[in-house]
Amino acid sequence: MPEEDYVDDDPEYEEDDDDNSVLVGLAAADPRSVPPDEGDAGTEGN
Amino acid sequence: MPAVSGLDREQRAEARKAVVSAALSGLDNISEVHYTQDSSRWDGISNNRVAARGKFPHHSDCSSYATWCLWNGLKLGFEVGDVVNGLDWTAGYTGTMLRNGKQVRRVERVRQGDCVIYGSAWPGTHVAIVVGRQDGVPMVVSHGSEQGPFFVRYDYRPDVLEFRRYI
Repeated sequence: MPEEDYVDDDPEYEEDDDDNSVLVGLAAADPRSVPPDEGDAGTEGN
Repeated sequence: MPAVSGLDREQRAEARKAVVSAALSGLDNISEVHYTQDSSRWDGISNNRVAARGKFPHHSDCSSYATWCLWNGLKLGFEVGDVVNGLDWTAGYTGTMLRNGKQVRRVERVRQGDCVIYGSAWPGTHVAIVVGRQDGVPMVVSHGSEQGPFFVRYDYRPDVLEFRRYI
């Protein structure tokens, strides 16, 4: 893995911080009702 | 330092809207968005299913769904190359998603269009896409099973590995 740098330290993204929309009128699923995730296809080629 | 996508602030805001609109479209068509891990999971991109035209992938898994959402905002919106998986928008999985983009360390900095990757270590096991906040909590659309996609809080499962930004 390349050396990581972070969004948190990047001044370019500071101006995005007021862009954080609140979602209304959309009912979230109860996490207990969500079936287990089946995983992700695990190779780069598919 | 330029944004991961190379877009300016206004463009990023527009891209985020398109990504969120794409992600939410799956909720409106839940019975037609099937879960698969076979090659048809790239249906959304390979068959040019454009969310702005009311189209959505009929087959996908978590990473191809999240990638399709970002493709709508980045590639279709601004001709951005594949900053999500680095594979020319033709392939990828959580492992390539972890190798691309930029990590967001603090949850309060998470924004629409960011991805939440789950698992204990690279290459990760699941990914969901952030569509906004409710009560201050980032909310995601997660497509991890045939019953999905679901709209849930980002920590609906306990193994959040990291937040990642591609916009």
